[in-house]
Amino acid sequence: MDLFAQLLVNGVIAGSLYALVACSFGLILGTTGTFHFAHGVVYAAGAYGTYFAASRGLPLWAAAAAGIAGAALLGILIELVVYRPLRKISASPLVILIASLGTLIVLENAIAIAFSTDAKVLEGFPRKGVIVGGVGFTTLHVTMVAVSLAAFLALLAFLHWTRTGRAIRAVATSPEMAEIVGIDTGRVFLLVFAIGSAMAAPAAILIMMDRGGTPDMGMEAILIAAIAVIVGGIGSVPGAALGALIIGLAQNLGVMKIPSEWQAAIAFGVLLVVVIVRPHGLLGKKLKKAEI
Amino acid sequence: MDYVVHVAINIALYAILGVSFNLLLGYTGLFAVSHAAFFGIGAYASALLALHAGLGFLWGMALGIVVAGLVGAVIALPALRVSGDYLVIVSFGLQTIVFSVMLNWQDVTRGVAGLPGIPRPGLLGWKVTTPSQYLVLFLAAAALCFFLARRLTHSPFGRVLKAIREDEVATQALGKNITRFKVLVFVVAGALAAVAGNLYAHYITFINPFSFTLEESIFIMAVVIVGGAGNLWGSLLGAAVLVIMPESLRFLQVPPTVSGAIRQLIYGVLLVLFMRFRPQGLWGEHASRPAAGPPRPPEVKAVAPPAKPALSPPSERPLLEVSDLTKTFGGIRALSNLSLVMPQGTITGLIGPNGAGKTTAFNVITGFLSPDAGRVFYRGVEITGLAPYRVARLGIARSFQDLRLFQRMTVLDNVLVARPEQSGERLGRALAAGAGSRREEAANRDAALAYLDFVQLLGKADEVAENLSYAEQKLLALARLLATEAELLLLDEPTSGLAPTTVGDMLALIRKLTDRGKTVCVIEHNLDVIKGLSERVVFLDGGEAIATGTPETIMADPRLADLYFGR
Repeated sequence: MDLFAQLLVNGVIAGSLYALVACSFGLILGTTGTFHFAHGVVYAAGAYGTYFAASRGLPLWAAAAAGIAGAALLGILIELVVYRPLRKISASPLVILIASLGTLIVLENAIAIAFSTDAKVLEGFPRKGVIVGGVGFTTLHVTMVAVSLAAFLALLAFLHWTRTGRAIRAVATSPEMAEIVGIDTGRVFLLVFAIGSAMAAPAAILIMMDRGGTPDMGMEAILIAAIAVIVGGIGSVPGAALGALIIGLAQNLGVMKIPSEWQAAIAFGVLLVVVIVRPHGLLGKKLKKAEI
Repeated sequence: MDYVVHVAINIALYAILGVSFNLLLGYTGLFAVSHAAFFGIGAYASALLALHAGLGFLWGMALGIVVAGLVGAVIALPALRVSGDYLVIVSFGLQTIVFSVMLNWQDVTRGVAGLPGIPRPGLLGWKVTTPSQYLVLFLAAAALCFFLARRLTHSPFGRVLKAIREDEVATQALGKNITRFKVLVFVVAGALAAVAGNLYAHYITFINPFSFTLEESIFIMAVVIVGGAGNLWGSLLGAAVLVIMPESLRFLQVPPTVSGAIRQLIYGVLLVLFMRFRPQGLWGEHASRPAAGPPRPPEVKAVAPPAKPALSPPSERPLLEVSDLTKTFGGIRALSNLSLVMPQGTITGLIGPNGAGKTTAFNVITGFLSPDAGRVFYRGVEITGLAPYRVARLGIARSFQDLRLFQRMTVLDNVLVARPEQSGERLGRALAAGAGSRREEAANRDAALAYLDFVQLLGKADEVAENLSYAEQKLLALARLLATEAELLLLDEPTSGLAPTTVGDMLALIRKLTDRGKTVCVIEHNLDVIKGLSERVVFLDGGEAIATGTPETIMADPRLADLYFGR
C-alpha cells in the first residue's frame, strides 16, 4: 500500500511537469495550428539559459527568470524566422512540421556543441526531504507541483477573464473570423508563442535542479507533451493537463507490473490505446464527419 | 581508397532506405517516421539467424525480410487509424517501442552490449571480405531494390498509392480498398528496409540498438525530403548528398566530440531551408515532366467507349431502392425516413433547400456513412453498411461537390486509376508485370483516353490536374467517374460554379449517359437546370422525400416552391 501511495505521488509529480509542457504545446497547437516540435528545444533552452546565467554568478531565482525570458524570446524568434515565412507561402501543415523538426534538431545540437552532451545540474535549490504518511518526497517536488498548478490556473484565468485571453480563444476558434472583427492574429500568434515558451521553461529548469538535464531532454519532453495533447484532445488546455497527468501516473504506477526500463514505451502504449478507442481524445470535440 | 569505398557503401545503404521510405512518404503520403525500426528489425533478425541458427546470408536475408514485413503489417494497423500530425506521433511511438524492445529484451538482443561477431556474408561460394567486394554487394542490392520499387511505382498499384496520397476518400469511392494498399506498402517498405538492415549487420559485423534510433528515422526522412519525395531518383540523390556533405567535416579537422552534433546540425539546417525554399526537394516528382509539350496527337483508338449493355436485363425492380433511411448527427436529423427509388436507365433529380440531406443521402448510399436505421438495395441486393469501396465495385460511383481530384497527378492518371479490376493493382502482378499486364494497361489507357475525349479534355491528358481551370476540373471529375464503368452514377452538383455556357455543355454530356446504359442521379440546386435534364425529380426537405414528380409539377406546387425559395 505504501508502495502504491509512493508511486501515486511520483506519478503526480511527473505528471505535473509534463502538464506544463503539454498545456503550453497544446495552447500553441490549438491557437496557431502549428505542430511546434521545436517547443522541445525551447524548453531545454530555458534550462540551459538558467544554467548559463547561474554559472555567471546570478542568484538562482534571477537566473531562472533570465532562462524563462530567454525561452520566451527563442519561441518568438522561431515563430518569426521559421513559421511565419512558411505560413506566408501557405505551406502545408506537414511542411511546417518538418521545418519544426529540423529546427529542433539544429538547436538541440547547437546546445550540445556549446555545453557538451554531459548532464548539467543546477545547484543551489534548498532541497529538504519530507516524509508524510510513509510517502517520501522533497521540497523541490512540492515546488514542481505548486509551480505547475499555479501556471495552469493562471493560464486558464488569463484565457477566460482577460480581453487578450479572449482574443486568443477567438483566434483559436477561427483565425479568419478573428481577423474580421479586428484582432491582429499575427500579434496573437507572437503572444501565444511567448506565453507557451515561458510556461514550458520552468519544467525544464526544475528537472535540471532535480536530476540534471542533457541537450536532448527536449525531444523526450515534446514527445510526451504531444502524446498528452492527443490523449487529452487537441484544442483543450485542461485536456492536455489531464493527458499529462494520466501519462505520469501510468508510467509510475506501471512500475508495479512492468519493469521500469519500459517507461518510455508506456506513454506510447497509452497513446495507442486512446488512438484506437477514442481518436478525438478524452476532452476533445468529436470530429465532424457529416459532409464528406 | 578504402575510405572512399566506405562512403560509397554508405550511400548505397541510405539509397535503399531512402527508396523504401519514399514509397511510404513520397508515394502514399504516409508520414510514418519509424523507418529505422524496420531497418533495425531487419538487422537484428538476420544477425540472430546467422549467429544462432547458422543460416547463410541469403537465407538470413529472406527470413529477415519476412519478419520485417510482418512487423510492418502489425505496425501499419495503428498507423492506419490516424493521419497527418497524429500519424507522425504514433510512428514516433512505434519507433520508440521497437527501440525499447531492442534495448530491453536482454535475453535475445543483449541490450546495450549488442550482437558482435556477425559472420561476413557468403554468396553461392563467393565470400565477401574486402571493402570493394562489399561495395559490389551493396550496389547490386541497391540496384535490385530500386528496380523493384520502380516497378511498383510505375504499376497500377503505384498509381493507387499516389491517389491515396492525394485523396483517400475519392480513392475509396473508385472502388479501391485503401486499407489493403496501405498495409501492403508498409510491408514492402519494411521488407526493403530489412534488406538494408541485413546488409548493414553483415558489413559492420556488430549491431546494437543505437544504430536504429528516432534520430536515424529522421535522417532517413531527410534523405527523402532533400532528394525529392515522390521521385525514386531523388532518393538516390538525397542519399549521396546527405552522406557526402557531413563527410567534409573530416577535412575541416572538427574535434570528434562535436562532429556527430555538427553532422546532425547540418541536416537539420537542410530540412528547414528545403521546407522554406524548395519543399519539393532537389529532384522532385514532376521535375522530369516535359513542361507543356506539344499537344498530344489524337491517338485514340476507340473514340466512343463501347456502351456496355446493362449488366442485368431491365427488370421490374428499380436499380436502387432506399427505404426509411434515418441518420442523425448529434441532435440534428440529417435524414428522416428517407425513401426513394432510382429506376434503371433514368435520370433522377434530387433537389431541396440547403441542409435537406441530399449529400448525406449520397454518403449513406455509397457507404461513407452508415445509417441509424433503414436499408439500401442495389439490384435487389441489400448493400446497407457495406464499405465504400465495395459499394463502388458493385457499380455505384459518386462524384463530390468539392471534386476531390488527384491534384498532383496527371489528367490521364486521374482517369486511369479509376479503371475497374486492374490486375496490376495486385502486389505480385505489379512486381512481376509481363506482356499480359502491358496489354491490359494499354487497353485501360485507350479507354481512359476515350473518356477524356468524351469530355473534350484529350488535349490536356498530360497536364497535372491542379493546373486545369475549374470547368476543366469538373469535366475531369466526370471522366474519372465514367471510367469506373459503374452503372449507377451519383452526381453531386455537377454544374455548380460553372459559367452558363459551360453548364449547357455539362448537361449535354450528362444527357448522353443514359444512352450508354447508365442510371443517373443528380443533386442540383437550380430547378431550370433540372428541367432540361430529367423527367423525374425527388424533392427533399428535412431529410425526407416529400414529393416526387416531373419538374413542372414540383414547380407548380406552391407549398414546395415556398420551401424551395425559403419563404
